[in-house]
Amino acid sequence: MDKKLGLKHHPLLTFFGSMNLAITLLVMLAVASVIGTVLKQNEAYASYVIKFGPFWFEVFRTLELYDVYSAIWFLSVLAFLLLSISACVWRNGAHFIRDMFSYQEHTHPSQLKKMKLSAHWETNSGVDAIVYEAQNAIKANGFRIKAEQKAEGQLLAAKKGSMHRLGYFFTHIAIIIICLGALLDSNIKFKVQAWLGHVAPETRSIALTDVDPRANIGVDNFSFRGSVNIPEGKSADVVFLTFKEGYLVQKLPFQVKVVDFRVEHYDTGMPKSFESDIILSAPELKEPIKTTISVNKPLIYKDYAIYQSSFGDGGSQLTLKAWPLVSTTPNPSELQGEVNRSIPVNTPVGDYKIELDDYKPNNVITLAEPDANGRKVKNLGPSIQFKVRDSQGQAVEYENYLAAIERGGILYQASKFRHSRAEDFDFLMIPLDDQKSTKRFMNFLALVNDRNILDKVLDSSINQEKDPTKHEQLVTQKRFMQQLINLFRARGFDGIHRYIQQAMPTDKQDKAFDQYLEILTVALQGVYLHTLEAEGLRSEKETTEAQRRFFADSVEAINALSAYGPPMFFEVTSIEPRESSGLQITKSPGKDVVYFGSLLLVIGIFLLFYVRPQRIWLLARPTPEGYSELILAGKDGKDDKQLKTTFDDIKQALLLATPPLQETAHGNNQSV
Amino acid sequence: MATTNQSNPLMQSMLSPRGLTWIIAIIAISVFTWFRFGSIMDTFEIGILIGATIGLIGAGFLWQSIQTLFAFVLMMALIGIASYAKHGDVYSANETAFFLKFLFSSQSAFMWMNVLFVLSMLTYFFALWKNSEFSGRVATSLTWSAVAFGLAGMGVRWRESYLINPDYGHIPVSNLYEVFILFVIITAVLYLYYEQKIRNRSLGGFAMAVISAAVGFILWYTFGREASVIQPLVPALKSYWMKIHVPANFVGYGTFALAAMVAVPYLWRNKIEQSGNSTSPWLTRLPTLEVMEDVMYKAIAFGFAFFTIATILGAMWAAEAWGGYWSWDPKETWALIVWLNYAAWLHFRMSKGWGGARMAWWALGGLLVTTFAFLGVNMFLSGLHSYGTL
Repeated sequence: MDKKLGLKHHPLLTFFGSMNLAITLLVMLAVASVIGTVLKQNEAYASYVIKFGPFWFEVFRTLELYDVYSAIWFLSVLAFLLLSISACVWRNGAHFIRDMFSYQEHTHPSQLKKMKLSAHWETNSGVDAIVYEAQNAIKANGFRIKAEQKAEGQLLAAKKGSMHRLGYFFTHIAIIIICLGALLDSNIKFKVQAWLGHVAPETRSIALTDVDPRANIGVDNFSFRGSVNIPEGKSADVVFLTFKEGYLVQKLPFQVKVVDFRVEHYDTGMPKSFESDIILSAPELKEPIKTTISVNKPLIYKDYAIYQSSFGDGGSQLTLKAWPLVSTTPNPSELQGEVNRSIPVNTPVGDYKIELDDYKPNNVITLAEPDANGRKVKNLGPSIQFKVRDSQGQAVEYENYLAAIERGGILYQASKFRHSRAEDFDFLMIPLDDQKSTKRFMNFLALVNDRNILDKVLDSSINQEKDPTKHEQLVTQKRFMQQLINLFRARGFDGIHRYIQQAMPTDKQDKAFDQYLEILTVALQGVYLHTLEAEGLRSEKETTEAQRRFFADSVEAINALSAYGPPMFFEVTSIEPRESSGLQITKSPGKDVVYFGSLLLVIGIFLLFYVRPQRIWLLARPTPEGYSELILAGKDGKDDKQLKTTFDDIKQALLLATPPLQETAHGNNQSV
Repeated sequence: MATTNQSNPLMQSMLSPRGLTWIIAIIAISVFTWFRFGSIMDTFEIGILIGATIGLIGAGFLWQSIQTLFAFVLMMALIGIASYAKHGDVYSANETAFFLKFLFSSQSAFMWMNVLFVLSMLTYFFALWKNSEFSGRVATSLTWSAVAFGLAGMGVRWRESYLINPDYGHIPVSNLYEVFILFVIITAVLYLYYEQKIRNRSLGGFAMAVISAAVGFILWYTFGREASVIQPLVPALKSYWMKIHVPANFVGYGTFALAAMVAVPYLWRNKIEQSGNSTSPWLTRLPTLEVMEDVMYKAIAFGFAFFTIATILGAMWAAEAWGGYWSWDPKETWALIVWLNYAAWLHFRMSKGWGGARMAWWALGGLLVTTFAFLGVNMFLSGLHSYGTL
């Protein structure tokens, strides 16, 4: 045998080029992909520990399941697949190319006769005439012909659709190219450096200058995908890459300034479009590039692409009114602040830090039922998100809505709060008075905060009682009511409930709770009427339905206050929004390689599926009797169905032009 | 002499009065579209219009029924759009205007489509059971009608999105509800094509079964979740890419679903043949195994080509909207899994020459993978593609 062929049959090549290996690798790739979609990728390690427990967390971490797609084993599967496909192309390549160019003119007449599409007959016409007619008929069907004088006779070998074979090359080479492009972008060099420990993530939120030098990546990094928030009017020359449990700082060879950021909203409050006017300046640029980028319209500069990906707050200026919640005088103080900064607040009950996290101009919620206009969403308007942290470092998280929220015809000032991230938010809903302000509630609250309020509210009527025993009774009653109010203010309904649970036998608890609530309500009503009187609203003993509703809502709100946390309520009085533009900046030199591979893949697939290789042979030779014999045969790549019509067509033409002698026409397909 | 030329039939049909009318009509319509809407189209959208014009003309010649279908759809959609115009171009006219309320508002048209699809499934099965040629023809007509209502409904819905609010306007392929409609239409059209090719209606019930299942989902989604409300687009979807990426993808999903449904009668017939019962009446009614196998192969090959293109287009879009051509987002990843699955199927068939029951089982199993990619990802996994969350 030919020695050069030996390499093709080398066991290693046979192993790598086998389809079984390729399919096994494909299955592994698919399974790994499934894992990557089911297990949420690249989350904080802490949340995985919570989800899986320490043991499985370790197991999954060792298997690199938290970042499957860049795991060493996953990339190895890809690499093996590449090898496998390459070996496949190498093994079949030469044979396919030969086949593509070959007219298969060496096919033996007996083989021609055995083909499924085959006919032969004897005719009076001469060999040259047959060949001439056949050439015309075959050419008319779009075949390319090679004519050859053989020992057996005059042969025409024709072929069409050789591009089919090209499809094989295109598709398989395309996959190799796509994988190589992806490999370029997966940045092996960087991975090796990370593996060697030259690169380590920074986990603290600190100033750029303080970042661990091992987390600083130079401009020579081959490919990356990072993001950065730039407030309006500011610029940046780095992006942040998420990496393991922290981030890396990627230096850019240019500077991006966000001149202006704009966001448009639909009437539902959902963002409709957002865009940034940016200026890109680099040492090599004479004129900086001024342009506008928006979602779906990035700026491409050299290997870099700059995308508009999100937006956020870039330090909105806020003026806040801080209502003291435990004071007996309802006087708010004013505070100035900026989003992403904190405001220190010193109060008689302790020192706090208010961390202003975000200002959201819109809060769109989905409704269970569409509203009158057929919309399923509603905009609750702007809100601020902040944390109040005490001197021990304990924080409560809040979200306060700026606009009043309507529920059942009543307006409220709403505040969401929670004590840890694991909890759901609770609501504090402060009812608003006729002036749409929190004033009346705050007045009422200040009175409730007064630990001797009932002396002021009830003493005048108690002192009218002249009977000393009755007077004594009333004073005792008053004291009890005051204790209830104080307990309610400090611990809410829950506090009263617990007190009863400790103080009373089980069978009497329910009844006692109802009685206590009744007494509490009467006492608070007294305080409430006092509030209304102070506002000059109370006309004798009548209260309006709205005032009663306000009372009930206020009691509910005071109940919520017991869990509200630090004793302050913040109302936003003015705001000067300042936005920041979230940019994503990528460098992916492999992109064009991948696109080229993709194009090749599509062309290849169409060639494979829709170009059918077809062959026709005609052999004409003189018979000893002085006639001519002609053999017409054909085959296509598959079941010959596609070729049959063409074959019959050519046969008909030849039967007409070179009619058979009586009874000599034969064919495997019975359509003579 | 060679008397006939192979390329002639196509040329002849193009130069026939009907063919010329078709060419001129489609060109006229797209020129009109360009004059009327050119001002709000970007370069790419004009490119898409030109591509669609050429594609539609070509499709009409490769398969003449497209021409008839198009004429009906155009007429129905125009009646719907004209009715809106007559009632002051307000969306709420769909509650009052007769043609809109009962026939051609998108909601009514989709309801007709739903009903007709279910009826066509029943009729196809009845025709198969009774071996009735007439019922079969009725079933085919029902399917065509359902497709016409569906396409007209989509056209009208496109218009409706602009009527509700010019800001909202978009092609109705933007969320799970809309693509489900697209899915049933495309699957039905593909089925009808193969029905004509193989001249046998006995596969109809099976194909319509998967469509009816999708119709069941559409009904639940409409009435249980109010999903039919027209929503404005999120910024990431505001791109010409949506007009090509989504339909191309659903040609893929449609053919894969169809191949799976052809696998069912294939396996049935295969079982009858293996049991040696050569007198079974089903053997005369169902297409031969060879024919069904060929339909499966052709459908998968066609779908695979489109699915490949759709995935590549998706990657190019992702590069523009998300900043990377591949992010291992769950939908992307499942698209890859679907692609790998059918790539393997095609390899086994083309290179290893596998066939018969195991390939049919595989095609049927492929439906599970496809369904998960199509629906399961939206239900169970969250990611960048969360436009159609349940």
